[in-house]
Amino acid sequence: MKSKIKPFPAVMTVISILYLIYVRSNEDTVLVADAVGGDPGGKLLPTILGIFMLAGFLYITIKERPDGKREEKGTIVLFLITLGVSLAYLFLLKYAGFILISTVLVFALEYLYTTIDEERSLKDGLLGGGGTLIVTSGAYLLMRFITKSFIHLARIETLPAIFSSSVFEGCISLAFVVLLTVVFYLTICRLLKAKGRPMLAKSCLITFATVLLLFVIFKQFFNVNLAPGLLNY
Amino acid sequence: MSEFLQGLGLVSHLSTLIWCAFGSVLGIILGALPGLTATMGIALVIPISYQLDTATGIGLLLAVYCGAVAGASIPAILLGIPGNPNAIATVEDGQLMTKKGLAGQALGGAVIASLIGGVGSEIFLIFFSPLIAKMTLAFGPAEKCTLALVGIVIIAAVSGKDILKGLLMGALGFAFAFLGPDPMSGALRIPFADLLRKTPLANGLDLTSTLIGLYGVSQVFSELGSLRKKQTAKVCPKIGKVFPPFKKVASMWKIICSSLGIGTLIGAIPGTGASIAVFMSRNAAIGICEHSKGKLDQPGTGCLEGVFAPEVANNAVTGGALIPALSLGIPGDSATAVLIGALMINGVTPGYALFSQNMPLVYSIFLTLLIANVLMTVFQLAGVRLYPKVLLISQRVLMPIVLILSFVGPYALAGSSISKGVFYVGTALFMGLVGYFAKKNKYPIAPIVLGLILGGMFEEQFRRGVKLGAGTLSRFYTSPICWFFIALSIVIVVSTIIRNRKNQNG
Repeated sequence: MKSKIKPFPAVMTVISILYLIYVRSNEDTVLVADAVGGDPGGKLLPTILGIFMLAGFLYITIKERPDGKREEKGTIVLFLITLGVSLAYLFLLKYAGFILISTVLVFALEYLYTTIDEERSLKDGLLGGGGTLIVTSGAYLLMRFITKSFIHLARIETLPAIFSSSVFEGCISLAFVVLLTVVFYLTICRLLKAKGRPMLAKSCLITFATVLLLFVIFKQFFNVNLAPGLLNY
Repeated sequence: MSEFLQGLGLVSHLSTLIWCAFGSVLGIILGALPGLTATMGIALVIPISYQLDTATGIGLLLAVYCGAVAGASIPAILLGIPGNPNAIATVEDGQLMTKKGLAGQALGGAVIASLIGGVGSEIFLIFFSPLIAKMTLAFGPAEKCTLALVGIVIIAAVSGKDILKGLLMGALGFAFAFLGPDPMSGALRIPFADLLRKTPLANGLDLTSTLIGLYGVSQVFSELGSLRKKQTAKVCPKIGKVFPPFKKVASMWKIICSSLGIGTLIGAIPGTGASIAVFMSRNAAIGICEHSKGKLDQPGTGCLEGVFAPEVANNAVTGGALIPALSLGIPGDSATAVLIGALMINGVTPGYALFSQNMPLVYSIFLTLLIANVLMTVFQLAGVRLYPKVLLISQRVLMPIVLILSFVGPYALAGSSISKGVFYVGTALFMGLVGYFAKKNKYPIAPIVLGLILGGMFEEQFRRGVKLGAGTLSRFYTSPICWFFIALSIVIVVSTIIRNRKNQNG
């Protein structure tokens, strides 16, 4: 049976009702110890807003009718997969860590999107994804080992002090990522292309370079604590 | 003078130049890629700008803004597809010039025109913004409250075909802004307070995560349908000679002046936007060419005049739009709405206080805008043969990168707290879905952003105004400025309804 109302304004109408109930059920937040008085309190504007939203969305729900256009099935599938992968990213980021979960997210979507016109192979996807995960994790561990070694050697004064600075560490990491990306392109990508899997090669390369570059920019240069997760090194 | 020198000192760092250069290139690329917008670009670089010192961070944001506006001319000229609506009037002459084998001159001309528009409008910005900001000295809580109302009405009016939907989205933004501590009493106002008390939501909804979610994540979901369409192979046309003859450029001085004036004025009127300015300046150019006794070519025939007029105007809009944005905190379009949010995240609150208390920072903003325009010109000219290749990058490759950037950006704001970072990623994803469903149902998302930015100020000033009136609205109805702002809001609403009805009736 076809729906006679548009879902979005209808949902927003319900949300407006819930918002009004929430606002009215809370205690008012008037200014305390106010000798002068006159504060209308923190419930007034949200209540007016809730009534406006309710009236507006209800009017649109009644006035507008669905245009009959439906999203194509393929687009819905892409939407659900993208949403699923994003939710997995959200919930697993803390436990799996930035490198692992970001590799999964970028590879899954790159492979999914770039092979829209082709017949996908689950085996290719799993092998490509697994391979990218291993190579990216390996490159990450190697990069960390190199930078940590530099810091250690600089601290025991075997190397000049500059080797322990965060900017130097970032630059070294950046150079390392660029170099490894070129090596990745010349070896694994060419091999995959020669085997007739150019899209798989593209997905692997983009994932590898994107994840490691983001790590270098945010962790090495800006000192953001990107969740280490399982690769806590 | 000493304040100017202090401002100069704030931007005289190699790092400022490097980040502005990075922003320019990124902006040009984003502007050149259809589907990616200046607004999204600004939203995505907010987390990086936040990590830099204020002047450099603002420089980065302005460089992305200017670069993206100018970069939109590349696909307009080469492919006949504007990178964003700002370049819509460049398409006709740009494409005709490309077909004539003059793609290089069209691109070069567009870059020079963008520089003239950007720098020219900045002169107006430098002159007018302190004056307008000074006017706000007369504003009390009631006036500030009604000014915020004007801002939300304007953005609701311009960002969609149905003003009611715009206003409802603005109200939704206000509702989001009302989460967190009460501005007067400090009491916590969040649903499921027992559960969410210890989350970052207790301090209010994070603006950056919201901006990135609404413009980055929602863009990825919105593009999924077009990703499924067969991607046609794009071909890079021959570029040829880049610089247009100087004599030709000089002969167009009337077109340049009129486009500069139109662009700056339209940009400075909140709610109008570049897409109006480009057509107005093109029409003005047609009039000028008709009266030139054959000295100038007629736009529409594949000539530089038809490229210069809209390109001067759309970059003049950037400086013009910054006049109300910096002096009043009122944006002209969604890009400046996000820019205001980004400035606030970087600790810069637009308005008189900025001009009276932090003039060196204001000068540094002017200087970084100048640097951004110059660098945009340098990089667009240097890469005139390279950027067309960017057009060959498929959306299918780009969208996963946009998504991961949209997640890492909000996460980065949390610094060392992983849980907080994950919460911000969740906020961005949630807002991305809100933005996606809103856009899918033709509800504009810019009013949500402005509602979120202005909501806190609106509530605080409203309550102060009522309190000063001893619990009544007397402060509102005894102030002529309030009456002016309320009348302006009504005029905007009514004129938008009339205009939309006229458009609907053909």
